[in-house]
Amino acid sequence: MNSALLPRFLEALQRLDSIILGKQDALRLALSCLLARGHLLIEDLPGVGKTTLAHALARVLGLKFQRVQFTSDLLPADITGVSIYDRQDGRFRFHPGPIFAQVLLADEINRATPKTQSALLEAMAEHQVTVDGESHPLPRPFYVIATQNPLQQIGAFPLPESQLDRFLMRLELGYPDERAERELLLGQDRRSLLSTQEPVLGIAELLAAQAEVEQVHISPALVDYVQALVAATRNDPSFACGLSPRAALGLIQASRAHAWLIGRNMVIPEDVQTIFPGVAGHRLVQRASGRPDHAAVLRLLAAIAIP
Amino acid sequence: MKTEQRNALLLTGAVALALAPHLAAQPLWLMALLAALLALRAVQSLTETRALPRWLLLALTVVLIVLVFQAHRSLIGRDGGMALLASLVTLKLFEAQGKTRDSHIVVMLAYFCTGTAFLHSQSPAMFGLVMLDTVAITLAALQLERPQGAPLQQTRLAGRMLLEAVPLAILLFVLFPRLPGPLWHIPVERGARTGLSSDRMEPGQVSQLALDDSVAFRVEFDDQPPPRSVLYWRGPVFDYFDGRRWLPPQRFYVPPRIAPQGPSLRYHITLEPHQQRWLLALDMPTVLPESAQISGRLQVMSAAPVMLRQRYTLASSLTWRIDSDPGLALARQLPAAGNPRTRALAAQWQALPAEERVRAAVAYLRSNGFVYTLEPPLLRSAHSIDEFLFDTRQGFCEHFAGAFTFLMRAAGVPARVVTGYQGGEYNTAGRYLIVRQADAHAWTEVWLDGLGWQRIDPTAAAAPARIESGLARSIPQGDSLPWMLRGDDNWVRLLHLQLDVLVNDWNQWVIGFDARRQRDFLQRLGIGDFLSARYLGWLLGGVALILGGFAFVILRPRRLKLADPAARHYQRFCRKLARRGVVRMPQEGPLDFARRASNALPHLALQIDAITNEYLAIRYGGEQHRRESLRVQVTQFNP
Repeated sequence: MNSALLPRFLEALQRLDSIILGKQDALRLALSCLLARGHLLIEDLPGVGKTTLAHALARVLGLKFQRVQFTSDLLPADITGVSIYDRQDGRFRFHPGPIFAQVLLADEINRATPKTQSALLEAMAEHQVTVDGESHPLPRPFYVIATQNPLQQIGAFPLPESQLDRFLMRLELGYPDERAERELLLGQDRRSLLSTQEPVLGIAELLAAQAEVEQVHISPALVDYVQALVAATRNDPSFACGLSPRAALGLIQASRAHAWLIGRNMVIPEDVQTIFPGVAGHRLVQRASGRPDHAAVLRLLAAIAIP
Repeated sequence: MKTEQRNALLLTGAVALALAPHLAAQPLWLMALLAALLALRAVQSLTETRALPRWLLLALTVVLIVLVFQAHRSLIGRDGGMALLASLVTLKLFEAQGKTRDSHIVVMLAYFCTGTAFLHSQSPAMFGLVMLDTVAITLAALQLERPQGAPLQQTRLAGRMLLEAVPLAILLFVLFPRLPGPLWHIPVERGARTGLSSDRMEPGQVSQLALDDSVAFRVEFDDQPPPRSVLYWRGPVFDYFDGRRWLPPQRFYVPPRIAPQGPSLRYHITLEPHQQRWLLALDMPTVLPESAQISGRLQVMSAAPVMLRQRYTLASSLTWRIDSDPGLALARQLPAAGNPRTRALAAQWQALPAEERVRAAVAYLRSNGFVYTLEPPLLRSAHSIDEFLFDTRQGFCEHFAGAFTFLMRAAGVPARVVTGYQGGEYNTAGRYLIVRQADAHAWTEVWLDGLGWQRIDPTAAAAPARIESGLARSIPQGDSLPWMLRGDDNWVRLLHLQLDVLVNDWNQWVIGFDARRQRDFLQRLGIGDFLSARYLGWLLGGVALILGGFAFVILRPRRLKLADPAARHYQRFCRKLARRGVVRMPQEGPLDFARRASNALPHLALQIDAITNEYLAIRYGGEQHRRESLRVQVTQFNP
């Protein structure tokens, strides 16, 4: 199978690569996440391009983009919107908040109070917002790209496991390599570069691609492998808890998207291995410290034989 | 419960288990004190209260040392030393918090304490307890190292570690050089003598043993065991009567020669320690064990008191003749006065020949309503034999034997009292005879010219059942007996006999495996001494074999059982590449492997890619119809 859509997506990837330099792997994963209809969490230090990535994704995919900077005094209504009394009509009218976008960038999500966080996460799960007993459906597609800074935990509210589980994947960007960084320093300002970008894709193409991703073949042998990985996370006593069935499902979906992006109509173990750290990393926390243990996730991947 | 609490509790439990056998041997108040301290530590670890202050621990140490010294008058030796060790380990437990050096010390001390439990007993039950405790301590140690580990999993790990040590332990148990004696003598501090006494025999003494169901010794016969009516196990002999008690020989002389009249019977006795010198033998011993002697009264004596369980082999003849005995005069001794009615009775038979006199006396005991009982009335008068023969007429075997011997001597026939055991219980499950303290017996020997010393059992005259079927069937119904001595075959008894087989095998093969038996065993393997190359070969070869076996199990290549034919073809392909030095890692995906293999063997890159694509399409793409093509390609693939 070679989809007619695939070249367009590869072009989009290329475009993204010209904006976010030297991060092909992360870009591919981020795009896989969106193709698998999952929300994305980007965790890294300030200044490595988290926000730019989110912005660029929305831009290139031609999606409506909203950004909310999370702070400790941010209230749920600041995201979802409020009902305001309209004197002319003589009744309350709903003013939608920034959440009514196709891509919502929740910057520094761990700075907001749990109350605000849960309002967002509820919207992510239900795909709708309820204000004053009235439900307002969110646009489709709807993605949340959240960022958080792992270091500054003072005054922050780390997301609990149940809410981390709502994010299909978690990515780390890391510093760019020397060549990419040089190019970045010499090149145009990213932000102005971003504002000049035209969308490569449209919503219709994205939805069609998602439907094609659903068709990528999953063989019993591959399910065996996924199950072996998931079982290993549950049996390893150093993890507080193993991967949930939802995580396993997400792993398969994201692997499908990854295979589709390569142009393959079946998922092979390499796809799963590429996706696994992103899907498992934030869900597997150490029993001892309560913090994610990325090294252990890689160790686990190296220890499980492919059936 | 938090893991720290659980681990502290586990360590306390393991130490408590290790100290249990020692505490049982301590005075009650010391036991209670240490148990209370252990309980306090357990509560402390549960409630996470603050540790005891250092000065209090120091004060407790001093107090405990003083108390132990008060109790044992010593700080060394088995009881004093163990009391001290137990006290200090218990206090050390209060310092062991978390994964510290102190905790590790407590673990090591607990291992040591549990090993020293064998100073108290070497029974299979103690062995089981020590093994259980070893697992518990190992578990506590594992939890110290990895506090997050799941307890159930770690218990399994601890058990497995113990099991893995078993082959090596058995090898070293059998082959490691043993010293001819114990390395240090196991002190028998109580020094209690058990069983029969060789000091004296007086009424009431043997009947005290009648309720004791502990094992006196066990016997294995080389052939069929003889009938129970001839199983007279000869112990201490008494030939001096002081008017009330029978006392041991006063003078020593050369033993008379025994002329066996029948086939000789070989058997092996495993004697429980009784802290005395005499050994038991079936009437009459003809072949003695090494380093044993026979006395003038035909008693088998060992060179030293029997302090440890001892196994010896001898042979006896059930019929015999003795021509002369230099000590015969001693067997006629009687006090100058006393027991006039008995003397008068004996005087009636003066005219008869010796054998007739014996027969008359036996007939007298049989026909005058004598009762064999465990609870005879006390003999209060100075003429105790008169009182028994003419008034009470109720007695246990020592009454009968004593009175009969007196009667014989009064009638002019040389006679003496022999004590020992009669009968025993044949354990069909283990094919050996168990003789218990309750089988203790006393009988009489009379000297008949031409025959020599012959056994007369006066008890048999009054209560034939005692000899034919044992104690349980011969005493009146009302007398109470312990379970094990009752005659009926209840299941408790059968179970107990099975357990006794286990205990006996344990004693024979584990405890009894001493330097001599090791030498015999090694000689069967063709090993002359410990410095030979052959011995080293067996020892090192055995160790290498066991460790090699473990290494093989751990390192053996795990080949997955594959149901999918495509996977089998692919595995064949991987093996072919492995022969060329490109080995696929178990976690390596087919594409990654193909890339690596193509880099290593560039001239095969096309073939490798083709096969890998074929395989991926079948196994992950579900295109089963390409299987044949894969098989052909793999077969043709010859790197």
